[in-house]
Amino acid sequence: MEKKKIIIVDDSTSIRVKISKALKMVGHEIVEAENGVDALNKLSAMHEDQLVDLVVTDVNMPEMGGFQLIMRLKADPKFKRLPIVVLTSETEANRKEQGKAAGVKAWIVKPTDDETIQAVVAKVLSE
Amino acid sequence: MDTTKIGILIVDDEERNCLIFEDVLNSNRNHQISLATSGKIALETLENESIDIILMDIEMPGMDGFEVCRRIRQNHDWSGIKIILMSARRTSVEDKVHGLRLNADDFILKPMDFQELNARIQVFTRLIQKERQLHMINRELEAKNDELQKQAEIGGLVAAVVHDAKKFTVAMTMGLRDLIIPILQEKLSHEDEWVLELMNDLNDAVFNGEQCTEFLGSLLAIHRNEEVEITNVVTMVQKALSLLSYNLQKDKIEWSMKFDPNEQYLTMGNSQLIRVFMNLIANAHDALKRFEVSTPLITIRIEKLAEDLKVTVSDNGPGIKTEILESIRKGIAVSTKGKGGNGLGVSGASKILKSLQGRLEVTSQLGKGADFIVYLPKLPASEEKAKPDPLKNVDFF
Repeated sequence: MEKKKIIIVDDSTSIRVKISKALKMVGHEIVEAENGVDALNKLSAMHEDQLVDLVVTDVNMPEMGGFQLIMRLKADPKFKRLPIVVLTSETEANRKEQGKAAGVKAWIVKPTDDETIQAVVAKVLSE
Repeated sequence: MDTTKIGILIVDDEERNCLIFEDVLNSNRNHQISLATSGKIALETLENESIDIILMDIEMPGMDGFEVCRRIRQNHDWSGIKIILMSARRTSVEDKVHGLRLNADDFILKPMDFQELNARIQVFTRLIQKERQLHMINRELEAKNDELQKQAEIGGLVAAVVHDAKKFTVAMTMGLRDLIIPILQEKLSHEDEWVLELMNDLNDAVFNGEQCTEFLGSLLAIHRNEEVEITNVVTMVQKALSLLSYNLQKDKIEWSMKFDPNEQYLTMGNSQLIRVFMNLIANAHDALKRFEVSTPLITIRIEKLAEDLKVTVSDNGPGIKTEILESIRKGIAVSTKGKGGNGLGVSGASKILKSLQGRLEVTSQLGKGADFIVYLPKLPASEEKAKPDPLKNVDFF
């Protein structure tokens, strides 16, 4: 498994810790952000060749939610090719459709376990 | 106490003889010579001075050498003293046997060759020095034993508390997850923003509870000696890491696990394996911290071989010196005195592995870190159960 850089966007500290632990365990480097604004700031500060390889984001967050973050990323040439995985407690089919339309690669419903996170990230990164 | 000094008491009723022996034995700077011209004076000297070897004539007026020997051996404090009896006349086999029966250590006939006397004293000196070393090691072991006993007692107490704590977290988490959340999900409208937020927070709480339960569970598991059962080595390594992650993060030590997530690494084991990996990881941590490595990294690679599972715990520390490596291979507890380790980590891990038909190997190149390699018997693929597909509940677009 190659080491990749992944940003985790979630307003819940415990989820960030959990996901970050699961992914660090398989050797990835993790950047954490508390919401969309924080994520955009951190991503913008990264140089092109130090950019993350994957975004894992929650949907419902204060300041800027997941969908708005995804739209902003897809509209920016620097970020538009970044694969995006959504991790949320939303299960509604129409929300998933909305995600698909926005260019999301995978939709994981909380609660989830380490193995699922690791497997989804491995699959999305291998594409 | 100067551990290299050897106290020698020369006992002879003829003062001239005493002086000759003193002259002969004084050539060695480590010898500290005392003289006594009677058995009575000899016993008094023993009371006041630190004597290791007694060179004593048998024929003396009053208390003879045999009697002094007998009295010395009655005193437990003097049991380590080496007694060499000398005689010009009592040379029969019966005399020698009598002396040795009284627990004298050697018997020399007079007149004697002084080179031989010196050589014999050297033999006893080596013996005494070995005994002193053993004595010191024994004292260290006793101290270590006391420490371990205390730790075990504390461990037992902690286990009881952890057990209770786990019961609470399980009850709390299950109540939330299986009772409260489903009811709220049914009763509340999903259209409302605040409901989603509430659900998020509640799921958060469940996560935290489950993490807590898992942590407490791992903590409990390493205290138990369970029956062996089919065990996934990856899970054991993950549990060890989760118990140690706080300490690793505190010292800014990075770690990574390398294995194929599609494979199952099964062996016959129990939660003692968590302890094995904890010991090896803590060992690597200790080395990285002690030598202040600039970008400390611990890598744990899990592989399948033809017969075995192989788990390699590597660090990028300074490596292990050859002589220490040898001691580790011989199963000797290597002490990292005063540096936090109790020196029992590696040998403890090795013992547990032996009980599980596994083994531990160590390789190291100075300057390039160390590899501790665990081999465990691999279970045949037929034992592997179809894993629940981790991607079952995930939508891919």
